[in-house]
Amino acid sequence: MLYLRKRERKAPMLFILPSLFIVAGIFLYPVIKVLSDSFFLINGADRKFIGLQNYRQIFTDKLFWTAVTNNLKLFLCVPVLVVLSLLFAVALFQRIPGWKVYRILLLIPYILSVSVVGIVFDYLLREDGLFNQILQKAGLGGLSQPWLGQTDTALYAIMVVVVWKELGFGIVLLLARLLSIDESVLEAARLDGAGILKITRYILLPELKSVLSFYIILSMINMLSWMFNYVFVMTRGGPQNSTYIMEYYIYQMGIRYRQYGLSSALAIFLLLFAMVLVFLQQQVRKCLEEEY
Amino acid sequence: MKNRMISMLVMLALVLSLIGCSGTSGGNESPPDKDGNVKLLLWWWGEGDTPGSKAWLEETIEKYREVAPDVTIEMVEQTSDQLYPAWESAIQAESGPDIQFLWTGIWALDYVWKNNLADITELIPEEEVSHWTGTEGLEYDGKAWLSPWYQISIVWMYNKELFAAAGLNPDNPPDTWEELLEACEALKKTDVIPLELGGMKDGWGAPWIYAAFAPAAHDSMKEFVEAATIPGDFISEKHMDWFEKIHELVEKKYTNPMTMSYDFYQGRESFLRGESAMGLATNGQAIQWIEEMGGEEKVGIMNVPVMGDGKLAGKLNNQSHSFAIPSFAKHKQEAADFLVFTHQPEQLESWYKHTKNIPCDDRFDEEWLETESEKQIYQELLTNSVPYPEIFIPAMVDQEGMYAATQMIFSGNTPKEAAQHMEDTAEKWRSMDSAGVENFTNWGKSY
Repeated sequence: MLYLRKRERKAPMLFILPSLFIVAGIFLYPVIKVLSDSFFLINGADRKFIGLQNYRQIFTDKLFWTAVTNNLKLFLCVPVLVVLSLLFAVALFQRIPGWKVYRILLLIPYILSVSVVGIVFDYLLREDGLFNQILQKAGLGGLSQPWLGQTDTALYAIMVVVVWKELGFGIVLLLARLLSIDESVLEAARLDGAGILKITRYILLPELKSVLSFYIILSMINMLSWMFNYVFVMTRGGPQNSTYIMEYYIYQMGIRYRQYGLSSALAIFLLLFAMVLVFLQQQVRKCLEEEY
Repeated sequence: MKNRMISMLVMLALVLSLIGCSGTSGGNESPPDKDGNVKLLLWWWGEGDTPGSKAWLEETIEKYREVAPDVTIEMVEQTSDQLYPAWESAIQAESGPDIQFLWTGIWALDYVWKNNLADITELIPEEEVSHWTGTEGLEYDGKAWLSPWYQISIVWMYNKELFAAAGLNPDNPPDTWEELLEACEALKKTDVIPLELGGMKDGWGAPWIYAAFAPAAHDSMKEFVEAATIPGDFISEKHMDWFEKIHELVEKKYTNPMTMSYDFYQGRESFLRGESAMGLATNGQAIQWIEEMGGEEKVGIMNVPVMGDGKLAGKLNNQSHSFAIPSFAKHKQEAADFLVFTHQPEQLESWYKHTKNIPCDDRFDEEWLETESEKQIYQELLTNSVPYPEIFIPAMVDQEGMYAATQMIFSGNTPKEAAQHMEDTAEKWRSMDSAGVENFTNWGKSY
C-alpha cells in the first residue's frame, strides 16, 4: 500500500518533467551561465578562471558605486509613488465628479512607451524647452536649467519622469483593491458618522496593507531593474556619467566594452540585490498575515 | 526529504545537460542548397551618416544577381545602437551575417585580436587588395583585415552670408587658431552662434570634436595609439591641448549655449538652419547640406585651421567604414567575391553619385567630382589627411572617459580636470583589460 502511494506520488513528477525542463532552460540556465561567467576573464573565445577577481574589480570601481548610489536614490521615487497613488486612488474611489475621465487620464502615461516619454520629456526639459519657458513666464526665469544636461539635476529630472509615468499602475492597483471592499462595511461606517479621513484611516488603509506591501516591493525592484530605458533614452548615463545605474553599467560593460566577466559580476550583484528585496517582501507579507 | 533530494538532482541534471548542450556548431562551411544557390546575409549601417548608402547597396545587390545568379544577398540595416550589440550576439552564437559592417580602428581590430574575423587577404586576390585606399585603421600585423567601403571625414563648414554680415571675408575662412578666434569674436557680435560643435548631452559629439581639434598638438598617430597604455599620458601637455582649446571657445561664448541641453544631432543642425556660422559635418553630408542651403555661393568647406604646432596640425581626419567577413561565416568565399564586385569602377561611380562619399579605392575617378567643394575635400583626403583619432582609443576610455571629459568642459570644469578624468578612466581600463592593454601596446609598436 505504502509502496503504491510512493509510486503514485512519483507519477506526477514524470508528467511535470517536460515543463520543468523548459522552466530550467528559460530561467535557470541564463542565471547559472551568468554566474559562471562572472568567475572568468573572457577574451573572445578564450576563458580563464580568475575566481572572485571580477567582483574585486567592480567593488573598487568608482563608477560602480555611483551606479549603486543612483539606484538607491531612485528608491526615493517609491514613497512618492505610494503616497500619490494612494491619494489619487482614494479620491477616485470617492467618485469625485469626472472620476472616470481622471482614471483614464492618469493611466495614459503608464500605457505610453518609455522611449516616447523619454523623447518628449527630453524636449520639455531642455534649456529652451516648455518647462523652462513656463518658469520664465511665471517670473522664475532664474530657476531655468538644462535639467537633463547638468550633473546635479539630471538624475532627479529622470526621477520626476519615472514618477509621472509609473504612477498610473499604482493608482489602478490600489483602486482595484478598494473597489473589492465590501460596500456594506463602508456604508455602516458612514452611518456611524465617519468622515472620509476616518474611513481611510480605519477601513481603507488596513484593507490596502497587503497590496501596498506588494506595490512597495515591486516599485523597489522596478527602481533596480527597470530603469535602463529611461537612462538610455534621456541621458545615456551622462552628463559626466552622473546618471549611471546598474543596468546601464552592465550594458556598457558587456556590450560596449566587451568585458563579459565584469558585466556578469555586475549582473549577479544586481540579482542578489533584487533577491534581498523579494525576501523582504515575503517577510513583510508574513508579518501582515500574522497580524490579521 | 528523499523526494526533494531526487527533485533537486533531476533539476541539476537538467541544468547540466543544458550547459552541455550550449556549445554551438557554428563555424562550419555550409554547402549551397541542392540547386547550388547560396544565400548571403549582410548586416550594415550607415544611412544616418551617409544618406544614399541603402539605395546603392540595393542597386549593387541587384546588379550582382546578373553576375552571380546563384547568389542571393539579404541586407539587414542596423541602427547605431543595434550594430555592435547584434554583432556581439552573433559572435557569441557563432551564427549571423556572412558580411558584417564595422567601424574602423579599435572597433574593428578588437575582433581581429579575438579571432572573430576571417583573414580577408586569403579570400581576395592581392591585385584587388592593392587598389584599396584608406586602410590605415584596418591594418594589423602588416595587412588589412577588412575590406574598406568608403572614407568619411569630419569637415568644417562655414556660412558665407553670416561671415559677410559680420564683416568677414566670405572667401577667406580662418586658417589658423588665431584667425578662428578673431572670426568667432566678430560673428558673436552679430548674434549668431559662431561655432556649432553639436549637442553634448548624449556625449556622441565628443569624438568629432576630438577629431577636429586634437591632432593639432601631435606629430604622429602613434601618440594616439599609445596614449591609453602609457600612465599619465592623457594629462600631458599634448593630450590636454584640445581640452584647452574647447575650454577657451566655451569661456568666450563662441559655442552654442544650449550644447548641454541638446543631443548631438539636434545641436549640429543649427548650422543647417543658418543659426550658426561654422559647424562640423561628415564629408558626404556637407555636400548635401551645401545643396540644401543654397549652393556654394552661400556655404563653403573650410580647410582645417592650423591650431597647433604639431605635425598633424591642419590635417583632415579620415576613417574608412568597412566590411568584414566573420570567422563563423558560412560562405566566406562568396562573401569575398561580392566585396570585390563592390569595388569595381561602375559600382564606385554609382556609390559616389548616391552618397557623395569617396569610396576606398584608387580606381575612383576624379572626373566624377562635380563641385568645387567636392574637389576640395577629395584633395584634402588625398594629400592632407590623418586617421580619425577616436579609433585609437579603447571603448571604455572613449565612452566613460572622453565623452564625460568633453561634457565637463561644456559644464564649466577646467581642462586639467577633464584630462584627469580621462586619465583616471584609462587607468581603470588598464587595470580591467590586460589583454586589451597588450594588444594596444603591440599595435602602438607597429606604428
